[in-house]
Amino acid sequence: MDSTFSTAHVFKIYLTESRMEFLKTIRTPAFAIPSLLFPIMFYAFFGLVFNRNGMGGQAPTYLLATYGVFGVMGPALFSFGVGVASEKQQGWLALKQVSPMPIGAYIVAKVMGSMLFGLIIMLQLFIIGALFGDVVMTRYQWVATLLVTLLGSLPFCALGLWLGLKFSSQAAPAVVNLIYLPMSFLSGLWIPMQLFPELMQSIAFALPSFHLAQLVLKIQGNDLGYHWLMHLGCLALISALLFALSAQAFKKVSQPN
Amino acid sequence: MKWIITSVVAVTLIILLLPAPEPIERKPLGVSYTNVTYFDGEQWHENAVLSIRDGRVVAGNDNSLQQVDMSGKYIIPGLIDAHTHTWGDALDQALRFGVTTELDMFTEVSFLQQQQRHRDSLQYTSAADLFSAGTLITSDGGHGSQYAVRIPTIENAAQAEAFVHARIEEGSDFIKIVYNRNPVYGPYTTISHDTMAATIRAAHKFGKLAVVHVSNHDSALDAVNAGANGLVHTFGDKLASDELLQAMLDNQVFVIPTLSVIASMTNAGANQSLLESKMLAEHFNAGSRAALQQSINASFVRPDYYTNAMANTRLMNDKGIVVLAGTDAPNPGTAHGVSMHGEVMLLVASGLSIDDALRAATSNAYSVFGIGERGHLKPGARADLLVLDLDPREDITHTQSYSHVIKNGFLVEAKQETTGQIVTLSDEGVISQFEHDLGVLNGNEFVATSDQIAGGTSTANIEWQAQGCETPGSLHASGEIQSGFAAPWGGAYLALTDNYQQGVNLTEYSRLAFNSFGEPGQYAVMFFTPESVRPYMVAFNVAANCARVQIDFAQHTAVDWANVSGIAWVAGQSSGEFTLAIDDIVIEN
Repeated sequence: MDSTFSTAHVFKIYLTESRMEFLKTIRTPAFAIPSLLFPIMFYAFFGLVFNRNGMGGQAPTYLLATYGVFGVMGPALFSFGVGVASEKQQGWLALKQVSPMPIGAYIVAKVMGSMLFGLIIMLQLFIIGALFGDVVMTRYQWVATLLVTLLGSLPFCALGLWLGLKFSSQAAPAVVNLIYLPMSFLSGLWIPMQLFPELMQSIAFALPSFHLAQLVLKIQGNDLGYHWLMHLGCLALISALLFALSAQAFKKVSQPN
Repeated sequence: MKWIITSVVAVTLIILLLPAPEPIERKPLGVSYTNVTYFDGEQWHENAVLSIRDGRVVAGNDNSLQQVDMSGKYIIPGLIDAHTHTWGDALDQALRFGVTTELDMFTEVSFLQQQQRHRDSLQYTSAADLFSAGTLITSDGGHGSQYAVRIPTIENAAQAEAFVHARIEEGSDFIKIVYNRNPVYGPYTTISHDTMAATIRAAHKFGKLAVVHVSNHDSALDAVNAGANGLVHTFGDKLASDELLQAMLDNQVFVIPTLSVIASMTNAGANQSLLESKMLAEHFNAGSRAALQQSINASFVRPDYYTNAMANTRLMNDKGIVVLAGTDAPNPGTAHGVSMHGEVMLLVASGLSIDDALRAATSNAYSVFGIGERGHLKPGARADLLVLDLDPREDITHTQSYSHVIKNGFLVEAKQETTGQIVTLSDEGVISQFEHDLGVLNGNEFVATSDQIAGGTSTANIEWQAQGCETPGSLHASGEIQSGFAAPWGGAYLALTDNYQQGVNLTEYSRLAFNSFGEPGQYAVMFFTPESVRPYMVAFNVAANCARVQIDFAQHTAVDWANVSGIAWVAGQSSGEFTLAIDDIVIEN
């Protein structure tokens, strides 16, 4: 059925769907407010108020990266994890599937929506970091930090998608929180990794948020020193695995029962 | 579409408004030095050409490179300190003094691993490269196990292979063993002869060098006979026997005499000329200056230990044994980087020729340790080098005349920047009279301090109390000093700035004055500077009644008064509970 649409037309569908997704989320205060405020609040407390001079004055810059990762993870995990679960339950997902809209638009819209949220979060962090934390980075570092964190939300979209397809709308919010918060902590997003005992440091290697944080920290030279390809490889591997799991779960959801 | 464009413009604008530093462009040198006199690590070349491209020395003159006439200049390879203990900013420190590589004989494994990941790069760096033994091999209670870092220890020869394997898994570049023939080794225990020998065999099995810490002749003989590749100290209990010298020569055992640390143990006063050197003055920071003024002054060392150690160094060099320059920094009396200029002086004083001393500080490390193309300036070498204004062949102190340090082909900033803020104290320098609370007029705030931050167990607590000296109210510090930690302390710390890495310039002021009373006894004021590891201590006595204490800055030259980050009033001379009140603190003109 796609053949009946022109490319411009398809693009417009993607765009409209993305816009609607963003409007829907921003009009859901229960989602929008915590996603937008929590990273900023945490960063202000732990990076600016209590730790202003920590790590030899590097703490505000270091934590800008890690709370940035924490910030973009939220919308990705929740808009997919909780969003897909409830839309699946309400039959909205089924409706989308039978509509002539390409199902890709449904996914892309959610990715775009969460990236837009991520963008707003990152810009907020940048502004308060620069104003109150004296964070100074080169233009390249600012831009790279923004791009890497935003693109880095993809593995979490994949994780959210899988969880959303797997769990009921009642269970999903709890499951997402149970994964989101411990994963953030164990990846050193709240407290620098270097302060962890060795065992906890090795756990971090299994977590996508650790690898993303290290990539972002590498931009400012505050990473643990591993090669960026290793982190990128791990992220790609984890994403591929999660997308495969999601595809499988999607098939199962789509089958008439 | 319009909202997309608006958003993109808004995001771009925000990013353009974010603070960015002034750009520093760093490019590796691409240069042919002509008419240069240089030492390639083994021999001198007169009026020669030395070319550097992409971080390495390249053969011959390359006309595509910038040509720089270096008549009257001298180039030597970057120095290699073959015996250090490294953490913090030691490697930055080292590089500022022209030490481009350090061979570390025991450090925290995490530090080694971090450095290993960087050292192969030819990118710009402000730090020397590190190769390290990682965790040293010693017995429970042996030398090396006394520090705050907890390390695994070895019990017997049967464990040797697994133990050495674990070190190599951690990243040890070579294996360092602490051994003494006599089972009672001063305050320490030691591994047995069999364990030492088994450890050396294990190191060789895994293709690693085994180097041994010894401090007397007989232990050295045991280590050499057991197959050690090198001794990381010389010894001074007696002169080296022919048997030992011959065995070292036959087995190609090298020695790192570490005369700098032996001089410090015996208070030989070897650092005076470094401290007074006009050439080094601009590279010093307060930390290294203070470190050179200290000494270990070990009472258990024989008075002739140093002269014997010097004589043994000469005997070994004359015999044809490979000598490497190493300092054992940062032991008291030594400091990273600067002490290498002292070590080559001591090597020459012991009887080495100047060229031999230069080899000891460069290519000898290259030829015995697997450290890549470091320590020489032949084609393919890493472009780590020093440009000297004066000819070191005339005087070994001319290694200090370096005008440029080049690391990985990049010019390195080798001058020490002073970091002290120029502050004018308000309220005539009054810190606090504690009339109502612990608030301060100058400085940042008072906090409790104890040795817990360094791994000790002493406690400290501070609070305001109504009783005072000239006016009501004072700072009351109390707690308990626990012995067992090397230098325990507990008391009150005044942060002068909001960042412990930044100090204030007190050179315009002449003294610190305050009142104190409390549990009678001896207490100390500690001055903290960002550059030094250990605070500087001034003792004072406390009586039950108020008494004024004055500390004149001019009397304490080891403190960098241009950069003081904090002041503490502490107990710690004796263990047990303490109470100390401080009042009416003024920094006076």
